[in-house]
Amino acid sequence: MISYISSYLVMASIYGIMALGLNFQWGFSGLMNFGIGASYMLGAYTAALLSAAPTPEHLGGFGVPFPVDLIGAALIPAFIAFLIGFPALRLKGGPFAIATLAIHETIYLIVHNEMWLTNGVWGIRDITRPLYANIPQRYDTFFLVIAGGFLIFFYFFFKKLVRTPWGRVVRGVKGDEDMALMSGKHAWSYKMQSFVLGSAVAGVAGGLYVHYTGFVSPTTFTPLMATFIVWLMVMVGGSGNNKGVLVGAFLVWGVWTGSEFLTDFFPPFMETRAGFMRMFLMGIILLIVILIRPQGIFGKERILPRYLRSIRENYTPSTQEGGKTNNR
Amino acid sequence: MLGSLVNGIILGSIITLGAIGVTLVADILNFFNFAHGAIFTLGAYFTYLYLNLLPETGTMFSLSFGPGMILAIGLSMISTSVVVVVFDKIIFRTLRRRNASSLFLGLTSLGLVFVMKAGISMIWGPQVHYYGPIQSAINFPLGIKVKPDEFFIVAASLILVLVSYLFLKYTRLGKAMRATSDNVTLARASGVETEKIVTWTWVMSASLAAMGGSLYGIEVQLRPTMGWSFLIPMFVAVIVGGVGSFGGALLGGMIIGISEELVTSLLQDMFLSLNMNVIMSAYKPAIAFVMVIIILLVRPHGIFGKKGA
Amino acid sequence: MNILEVEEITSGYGSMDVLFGVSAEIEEEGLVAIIGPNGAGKSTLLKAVVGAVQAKKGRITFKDQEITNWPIEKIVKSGLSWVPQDDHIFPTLSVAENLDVGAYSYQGNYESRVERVWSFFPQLKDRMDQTAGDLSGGQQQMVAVGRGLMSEPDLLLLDEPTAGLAPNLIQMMYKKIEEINESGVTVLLVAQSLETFRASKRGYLLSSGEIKYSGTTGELLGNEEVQDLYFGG
Repeated sequence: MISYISSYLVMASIYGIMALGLNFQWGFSGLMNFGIGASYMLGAYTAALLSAAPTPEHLGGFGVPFPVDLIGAALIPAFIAFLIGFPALRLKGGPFAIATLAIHETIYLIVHNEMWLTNGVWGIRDITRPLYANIPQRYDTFFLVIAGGFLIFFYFFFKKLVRTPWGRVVRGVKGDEDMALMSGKHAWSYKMQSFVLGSAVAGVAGGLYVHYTGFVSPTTFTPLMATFIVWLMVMVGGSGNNKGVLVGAFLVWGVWTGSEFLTDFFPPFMETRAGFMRMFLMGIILLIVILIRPQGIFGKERILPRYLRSIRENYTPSTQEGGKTNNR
Repeated sequence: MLGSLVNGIILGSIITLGAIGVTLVADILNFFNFAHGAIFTLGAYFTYLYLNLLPETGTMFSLSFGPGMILAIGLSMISTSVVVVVFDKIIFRTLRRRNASSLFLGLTSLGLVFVMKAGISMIWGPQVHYYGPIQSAINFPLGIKVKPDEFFIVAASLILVLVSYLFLKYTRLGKAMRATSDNVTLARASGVETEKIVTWTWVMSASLAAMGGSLYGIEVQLRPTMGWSFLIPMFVAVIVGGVGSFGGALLGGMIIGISEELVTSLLQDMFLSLNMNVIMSAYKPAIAFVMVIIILLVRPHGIFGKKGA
Repeated sequence: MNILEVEEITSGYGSMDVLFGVSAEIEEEGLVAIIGPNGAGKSTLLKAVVGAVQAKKGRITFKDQEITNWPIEKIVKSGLSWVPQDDHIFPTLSVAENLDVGAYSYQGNYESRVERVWSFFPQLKDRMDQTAGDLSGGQQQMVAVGRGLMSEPDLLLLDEPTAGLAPNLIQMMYKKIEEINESGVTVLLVAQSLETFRASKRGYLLSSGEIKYSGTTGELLGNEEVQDLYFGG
C-alpha cells in the first residue's frame, strides 16, 4: 500500500514538473503548446540513451551517471524547441498549437520507427535506476525524494522567476502583445525564451521518468498520456497559478490512477473498453472544468504586490472596444 | 512518379473535404477546431452503422458497393451534423456567450477529441471495421494503379466541393455566412442571426468531414484514430491556403495530398539509391509538417490568406 | 409625430460611460443632424439606439414601441437601419452581394429596392460585381448607405457618411442623403458640418456626452457658443 501511494506520488511529481513547465508557457506567456509531450519524450529518450549501458540494439550506451544525464535531457528538448520556434512562433493560437502537435507526431514517428536509434517499439530496457541495488524494496519511497525534490525546486524556481523583471516582461507578452511591442520589448524573443525554458523543464521530467521506471517505449507518449493529461492538470488547477497547477497535477493523476481501480470491477467483456472509459473521463473532466469553472480551482495567481493590485483593480483599460479614441 | 501523383490527388481530395470545414469554423467561429478529425471519424463510423442497417444493395458499375453506400453516406452526414450541433449548443454556445478567447475554444475542442475518440471506441470497439472487401487496383499505362472506387472518391469529393462553393456563393444563407465572417456586427445589423449562421457553419463543416471520413473508409479500414492522423494535414492545408479562403482550402488540400505522396516516394528512391534503410512511408504524416514550415518561412499568411494566420 | 424618442440615455463601454442622460427625438420623415467635437459620444448615441451598445439608463421608443436594449437583429427588423462609421461594408463581398445581405431580413420586391439604390448611386451599378473592399473610399460609402437602404427602413441612422471624403464628394453625399430623405425615409445622421443642410432641418449639438444645444440648423449655425464648442473641440 505504501509502495502504491509512493508510486502515485512519484508519477504525480513527474507530471507536476511538466505541468509547471507548460503553465509557464501557457499560463504566463499564452503559448498553446500541444507538443509538451514531445519535450517529455525527447528528455526521456535522451536520458535513456545517455545513461544506458552499451548495447547493439540501439544508439547510446554512454554510461553517463544519473544526475548528469538530466542536463542532456533538458538541453536536447530545449534545442529542438529553439529550432522549431523560429518558424512556429510566427504562428499564433490554433496554428501554433497544430505546429507543436505536428512536432510531437514527427518525433513520435522517429522514435517509433528508427530501430538503430531507439530500438523502436521494443523500447529501451535496463536504464539505470539510481541506488536501486541498495534499496530495492523501498525504491518508490526513495525515488519520491528525488522526484519530489525536483518538483519543489522547480516550483520555487518558477515562483521566483515570474517575479523577476524578466518574468514580468514574459507575462506582459501574454496580456497584450502589442503593448509589449510598443514599449520596445521584443515579444517574439520572449516567447521563444519561454517556449525553450518550458520545453527544457518537461525534458527533465522525461529524464526522471525513465530513471524511475528503468524502461521506456514509444507507447508512453500518446497524445493523451504525454500532452492532454498535462493540459488537464493546468486547466484544473488554474492557468497561470503555479500552486494551483501542482494541486491539479496530484488531483488529475489521482483520478487517473483511481479510475484504474474502478475498471478492475468491470465484468470481463467490458475490460477491453475500460481504457477508453478512462480516456472519456479525462475529456469530460476538461469540458466540465471549462464550462463550470474556466479559471480552474484556484484561478489566476495574484503576483502583484498588494498596493499595485488595488491600483490595477480601480483602473479601467482605455484600450477597450469603442472608447473615446474611436468615438469621433 | 505518376502513380504517386494519382495517389496524391485521391488523398488530397479527402484532405480538402476536411480542410473546408476547418477553415469555415476558423473563419466564422474564430477558432481552430481540433475535434475536426474526430468528426471525420464519427462520419466514417456512422456510414458503417447505416450500411449494416440498410438492406444489401449489391454493387453498381465497377464499384465495390451499391447505391446503399450513397444513402448511408447521406444519412451519416445528417447524423454527424446533428451530433456536432448538439455539442455546439451544450459547449461552444456557452463559451461564446462568455466571450471566451479563441485559444480557449481551441483547447475545449481538444477535450472534445478525447471524449469523441473514447466514445467511438466504446461503441464500436477498438478493432478495425470494413465497409466491404477492399478492391484490387486496375493497372493503367505509365505504372498508374487505380481502383474503380477511387474514381468515385475523387468525383464525389469534387462534386461536394463544387456544391459547397455554389452554396456559399449564391444562396442567401451562403452570402450571410460570408458576410458574418467579414463583419459580424454589420451582418447582425443587416438582420442576420449569428446563432443561425453558427449552426449552419457546423452543419456544413460536419457534413463535409463525414463525407471525407466515409470516402476514406472506402479506401482503408476504419479505426477510432483514423481522423486524428488527418487532423494535421487538414490544418496544414488551411494554413497553406490561408485561413478563411475556400479556394485556399482546396488548393492547400491538394498540395498537401500530392506532396505527401510524391515527396515520400522521391525520398524513398533516394534512400534506396544511397543504400539507406529508411522506411519513408512511415514518415508520410511528417511531410505535411515540413510543408507548413517551408510555407511559413516563405508566406506567413498562406497563399490566399486574407487575415493573419 | 415622432418616429424615434430617446429619453435620458446613459451608455458607454465597460465601466466607462460616454453618454450622460441624452434625450433626442426625430419626427417622421424628418432629417436630424447631430454635430459635436470628437469624442462627444455621437457614434455611441447611434449605437445605443440600434442596440450595438447597452443603454444603462433611459428608454428608447421607436414607432411607439420601446426597443431599449433589444438585440440588434430585432431592432433592425422592426424597421430601423444603421450604417456605422467604420467597418461599414463587407469587404470580401461584391457590391451586389453587399446589397443582398442588406436585404437579408426582408426579401420581398427585391428588384425594385436594388433599382432604388442604383437610382441614388448610379456609379455602383457599373461596379456591382466588383469586390467592395477594392472600391474607393467614396464608393465604399455609397455601398454602405445602399446596404442600409436595402431593408427598406423607416428610419436610417448614418454615422458620418462623409468621413474621409474629398469636399466635392461630401457635397454630393449630403445631397444624396437629402434625396433619400425626400423619398420618405426618416434620417438621423452624425454630420461633420451643418452648412450643407437647409436651415429648416433640425440639429443637435452633442458635447462630452450631453446635448448642449438643439434647434434648427439655422439657429445652431447662428449661435456663437455653438461655433466655439464645435470648432474649438
